[in-house]
Amino acid sequence: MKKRMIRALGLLLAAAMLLPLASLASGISYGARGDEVRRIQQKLKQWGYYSGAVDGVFGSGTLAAVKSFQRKNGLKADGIVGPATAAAMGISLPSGAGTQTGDVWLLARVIYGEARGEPYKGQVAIGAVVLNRVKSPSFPNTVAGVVYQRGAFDAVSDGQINLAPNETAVRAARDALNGWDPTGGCLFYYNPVTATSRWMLSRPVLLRIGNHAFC
Amino acid sequence: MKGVKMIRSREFLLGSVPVLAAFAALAAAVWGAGQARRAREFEALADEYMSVTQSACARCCEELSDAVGEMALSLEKLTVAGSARLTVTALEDAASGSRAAASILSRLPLGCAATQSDAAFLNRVGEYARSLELTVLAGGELNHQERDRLASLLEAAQEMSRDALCALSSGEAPTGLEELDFYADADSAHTWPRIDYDGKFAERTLPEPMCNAAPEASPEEALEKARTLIGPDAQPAGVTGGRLAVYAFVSGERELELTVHGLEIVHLSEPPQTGEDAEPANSGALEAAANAYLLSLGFEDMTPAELTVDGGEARFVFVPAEEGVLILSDCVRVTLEADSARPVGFDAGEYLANKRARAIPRPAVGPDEARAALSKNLTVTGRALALVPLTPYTEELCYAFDCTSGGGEYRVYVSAMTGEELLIQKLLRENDGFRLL
Repeated sequence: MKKRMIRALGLLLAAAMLLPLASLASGISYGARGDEVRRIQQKLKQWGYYSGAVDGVFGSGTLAAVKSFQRKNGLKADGIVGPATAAAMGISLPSGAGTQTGDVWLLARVIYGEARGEPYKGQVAIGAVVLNRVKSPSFPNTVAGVVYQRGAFDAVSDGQINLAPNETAVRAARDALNGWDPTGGCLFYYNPVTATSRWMLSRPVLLRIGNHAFC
Repeated sequence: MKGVKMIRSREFLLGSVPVLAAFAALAAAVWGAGQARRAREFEALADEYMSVTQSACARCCEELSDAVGEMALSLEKLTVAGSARLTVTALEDAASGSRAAASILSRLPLGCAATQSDAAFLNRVGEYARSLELTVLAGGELNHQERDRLASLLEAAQEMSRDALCALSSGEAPTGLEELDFYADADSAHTWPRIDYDGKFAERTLPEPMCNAAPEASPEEALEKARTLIGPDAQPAGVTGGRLAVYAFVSGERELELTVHGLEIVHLSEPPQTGEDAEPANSGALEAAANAYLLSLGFEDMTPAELTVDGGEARFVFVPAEEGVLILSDCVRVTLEADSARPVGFDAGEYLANKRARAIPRPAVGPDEARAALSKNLTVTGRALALVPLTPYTEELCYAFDCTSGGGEYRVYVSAMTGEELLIQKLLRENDGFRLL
């Protein structure tokens, strides 16, 4: 059992240390919205892979169609429209759009893993803490760097970050990225019932939302 | 005959038991061997991943030691560099080393205590080196104070480099397999020298928000105002401390925040009623609705700086103008339902935190001279004056030129005091909205 835990930890750590940052969050994937998704859906519908509405929303129907297209064209069937899949479709990916979409999705997964069931403002606050750390010189300067810093978030340690977030979490992530910070710049939060760190418990609390105290 | 048959069937049964038992034992042995083989495979895989983890961690530690050493060496070269060219090279190398070291540090499996202050120091050294580089590139020289500061940073960087090497050689460097409490002993972090400079990571005290000059309102007064804004069912939902202290209230799904001093509205929101796939109204109608809403809240003459339309919402960023100059840091955010243009959100946190009495300077450089600083590849389509926040602590009066080049749209800020190009933003248009990157 211990060996298996070490193996899982090793995978996570090796990926975090060896993978260049550029390999994270590129391409258009499940949950994305916009004109780029509309173009993808139009192409897939034209070729008979997709029968749903061309609505610019990358849902499960679009995901299945993309995977089907990828399988037919000898591409890795991961459901993500990256540079290779886009080239096969004859479309070009806009620069910058994929990164923003990736940040929204990752932030939403953290919020969902850490704070699902919490008040909406509390979910936005979790996202705001992540973004405050990105802006701080004391923490990594990307969302992925902050999220995957070892031991920083329980949702990463226990795998809950891999759960698909619900619409509330995605909306909360967008609101946080749009500038709403209910915490007023906080870098830390904890659950007073379950926290054991003496350092954390000794910090002055700036506000409480739901089960979390922010400091 | 019957009795003989019974005796023979009993004999058959008794005789087949050892055969069945032998068969079962053989099957168990085969299954057990398979399980044992699988367990050995998992053990070998676990050993391999442990080895990969330890190697990756060791590599990170070595790279961190190298990067900090390179940074220290560059700072040392600065003490003896005579020409502007070599000074700039050494400063660029120091900035590059600090960025690399900060990036590697963030990937090491270390707790908050070990990384917070070290990462902050590395990031500040890099930012400081870059700010000095710009000074020298503009024809300036390093003064005595800056040289003294660099000498103290050199000493600190050499100490950090020695500590990293000691940890490596004494086996105290992390292996990646330790159990980790991210927040353990966070207060025992090393104290590095303070660096005074203008930059986003600089250690400065932000100015006190103007609204904090107003008298402190009681929770009862705040609740009374909340009930006029979000309904008679409004209930207190906590108090936030910090630079902009607020009272929070909820009424059903509506949320409200009022400043403790002066009861200004910081945040007001409710969930949109329409679905995420609703067809948005045109941007003109959305802007008119957002402006009308801002007027009702007492915000006049606001200019839209960004508009994002997605998920059934239209989200605006508006900025005010003073004496014809856009004040970019005093922004307010308005959210509307994208199809009906009904306001569902308002946030004035940045406006209230940053607004202060300002003496807007007059431009020292004319618009044509500023335009001459732009790249020849750009075609100018519009111009405005704006007070641009270059760091959380400093602002500069700039000409904001809207330009096009090769199908892309850009906003370039040129200092109205020096004529120097300061900032470039890409204007991204999508889903009837636009934003600046």
